[in-house]
Amino acid sequence: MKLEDHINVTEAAHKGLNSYYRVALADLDAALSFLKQERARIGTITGKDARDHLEVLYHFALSGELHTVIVDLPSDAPDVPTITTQFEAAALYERELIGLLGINVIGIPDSRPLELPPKYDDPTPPLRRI
Amino acid sequence: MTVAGVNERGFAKLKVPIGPSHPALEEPARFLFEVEGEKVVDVDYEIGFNHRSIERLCQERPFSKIVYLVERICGICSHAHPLNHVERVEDIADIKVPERAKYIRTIYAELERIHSHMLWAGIAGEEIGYHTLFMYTWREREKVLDLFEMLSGNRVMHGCNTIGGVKWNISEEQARSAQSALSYLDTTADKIAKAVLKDGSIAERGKGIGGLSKEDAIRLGAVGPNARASGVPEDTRVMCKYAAYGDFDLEPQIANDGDVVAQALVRLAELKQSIHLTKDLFAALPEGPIKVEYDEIPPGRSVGRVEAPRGELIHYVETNGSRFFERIKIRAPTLANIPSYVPKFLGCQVADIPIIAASIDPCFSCTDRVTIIKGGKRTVVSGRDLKTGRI
Repeated sequence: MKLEDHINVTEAAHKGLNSYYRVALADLDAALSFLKQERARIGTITGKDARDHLEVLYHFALSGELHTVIVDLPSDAPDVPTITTQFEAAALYERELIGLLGINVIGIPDSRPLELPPKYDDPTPPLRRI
Repeated sequence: MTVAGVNERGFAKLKVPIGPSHPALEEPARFLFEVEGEKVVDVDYEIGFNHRSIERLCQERPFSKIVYLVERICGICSHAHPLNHVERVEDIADIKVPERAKYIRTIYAELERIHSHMLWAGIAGEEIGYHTLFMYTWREREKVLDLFEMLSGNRVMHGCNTIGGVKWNISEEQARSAQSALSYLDTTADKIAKAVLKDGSIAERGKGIGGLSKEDAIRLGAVGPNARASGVPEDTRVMCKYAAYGDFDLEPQIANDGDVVAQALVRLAELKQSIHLTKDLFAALPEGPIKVEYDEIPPGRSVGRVEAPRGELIHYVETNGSRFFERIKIRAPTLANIPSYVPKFLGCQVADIPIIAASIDPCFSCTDRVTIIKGGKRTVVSGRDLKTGRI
């Protein structure tokens, strides 16, 4: 299955069992809807500080393949919509994004940081580069 | 314990915290149960009491040290983590690993599954008061640890994986000893299965306890034996055919209902399956080198899965051409299995909480700081130290 045949992607790469697609934030919902229709399962979500911007990588398992959808976010306004409306299992992974990278997940039902202690008061999230 | 309200029959609803210290098992997680009498009506959970910032540390260390670091994520899956990590790096650098190394990696992975499932059977027995089962399985599990010691020199941290292959070869004499030990373990697995599955009191104690429907398992993203106990036929070894798994025919072991008995059925079937597979691996061990050299790791990314004893383990690795990784992300199987606790606990009796908590074979591991002991002096590293690299 190749996502670029069905959805607008700005960049696509395939290697072995892995596929990577960079999509605009506006096209994320369409990409997720297509993967949901294909009965993909959310494997995990990786957040990354790419120095001049942030990246969120959604890893979906589809049988033996892994399809990764990548969206870029500005470092100063990292807002991304929750995907729990389509993939309920993503809730804990989105809470990781909030705590460890300071990404605002809009619409998430439970936004408590997952791993950090309640008294963690450093203004910079642990996985942001300084 | 606090009073949360009164139900329609005038009985108090109580909130009962369990954990974070030793909530049924020796790992930190906190559960907050709301109970009416003895019945659980709501549950919330909290993890992160042992978060060690390993992903951050992986970006702060040269890549040659990361294989050792990821090996220390888990004391039981101490082969699954480095196996996934080196496979990701080898995928990025297009390193062709020798067949013998793939087989040796698979042997370690299956021995790890054998001792982990035996450990689970013991803990599950302990949680329902069947101490004899605990004593028996843990005594027999020592045989697997002895095998590890014979093969690698270590019982827990094997240091087997390296980028490009493995570090420890297997001699013919070791293979013969291992076959003999595995034959013994095959008999042991039959005895454990008989002790668990033919015992009327275990069937009564575990049937219908902590159930999870197939629909809920899929909806909540459950993985590994926890999902397979609910009838989800997903096994990464079968689907991804990493290491040497492509050379063998494996069937995912599944059961129905997801309750404690189903969890036992799946793990005991996998215990037998892994023993037979390991014997086949030793018998078919190809000749040849165990490691290839590589020049450098180019920029790139790779994400992949291996079947750890507790389920699907995901590693994402991104390189940038330098000595340091750009990003390493690890999704341990227990994180995917935690949401399935909610339907498992709802409606259960308070006395069933420990066995349900232990039934998914959880392994909580995450923290906010790390203690370094250097020259006898202890220093606690803060989040700021980690970010600035002052360690």
